[in-house]
Amino acid sequence: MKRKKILLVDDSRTSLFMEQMVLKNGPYDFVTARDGQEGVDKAESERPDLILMDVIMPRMGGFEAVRELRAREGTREIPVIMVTTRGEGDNVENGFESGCTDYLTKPIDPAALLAKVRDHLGE
Amino acid sequence: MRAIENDNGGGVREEEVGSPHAVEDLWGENERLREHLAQAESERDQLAERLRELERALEDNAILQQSSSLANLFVAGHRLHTGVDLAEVIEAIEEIVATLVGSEEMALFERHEDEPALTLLASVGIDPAPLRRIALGAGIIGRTAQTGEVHVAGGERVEEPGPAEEGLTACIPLTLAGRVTGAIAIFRMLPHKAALEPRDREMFDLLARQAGMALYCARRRPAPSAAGSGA
Repeated sequence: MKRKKILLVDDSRTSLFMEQMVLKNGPYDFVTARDGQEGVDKAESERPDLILMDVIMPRMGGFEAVRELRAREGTREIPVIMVTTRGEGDNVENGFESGCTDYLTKPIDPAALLAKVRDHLGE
Repeated sequence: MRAIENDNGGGVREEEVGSPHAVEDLWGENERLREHLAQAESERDQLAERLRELERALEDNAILQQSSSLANLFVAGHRLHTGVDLAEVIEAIEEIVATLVGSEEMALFERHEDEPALTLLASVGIDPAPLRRIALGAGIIGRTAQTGEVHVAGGERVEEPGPAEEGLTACIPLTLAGRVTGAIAIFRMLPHKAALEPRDREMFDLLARQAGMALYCARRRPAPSAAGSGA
């Protein structure tokens, strides 16, 4: 199976570590970023197959980062799953309005994370 | 000649037994019963297979729940013990509570040796002013530090909260060598997290045993710059 590249964008090292631990047995390579701006830059340079994006981050938040990704030719089609503590209706709505593909709430449920990643990578 | 009863209780009358029609009827009835039996056996086999599937799914789910819980505990343990200084250990505790338990309102306390009170070390999402110093035994947080027992709201013990403890969901004593060296107070959970789960209790136990040790070690570890300048 061809390996897929996943970009993990989160300012929480616990989240980044958790996501990599849950997904590490799959055919995935990881790239990480600690804020939205770094996430957009790495998405442009690395062209990942999927992005997991936190919402509240320093410098640039997740919603703004997704809008930026959707505005750029090279990153507009990359599926983005928002991973956040903000699970209320308004925030979910904002996420989809900004262009995210799916939503996952913290605390992270490993099984749900794995299922969503597989789903969006067509596995 | 004796009468023959079929399984449905519909008897074949004695005078009919032996007549060509009666034999034909009996063969027909026999065939229907065979079909009925085959159908019943097929349904039974399907139900048995479904039951086995359900049992497998329950086992898989239990394994999945267990492995999820273990993953959380592993991540928490790793984060606690890879902090290079006090700030990183505090950050790790805050992230564990937010990311793995599901609350963005917490307070972290320390108890200095022989002090009869807890001192606030860090807080997130709450007003820290009324929590800066809590006497041992005062309110739920003070009693948790005094008894060394994890407090969970809605648990068996009903405790009266202190004035600054509104919304307190759990309080975890931090222990080191059998002595309470601090506490973590967790206030309101994230809106989409309805209640604490068994895995949260396991996380509280881990925090109680290891967060105090991580803070203790971080306090005694020389700062990287100080260690470097000594060379």
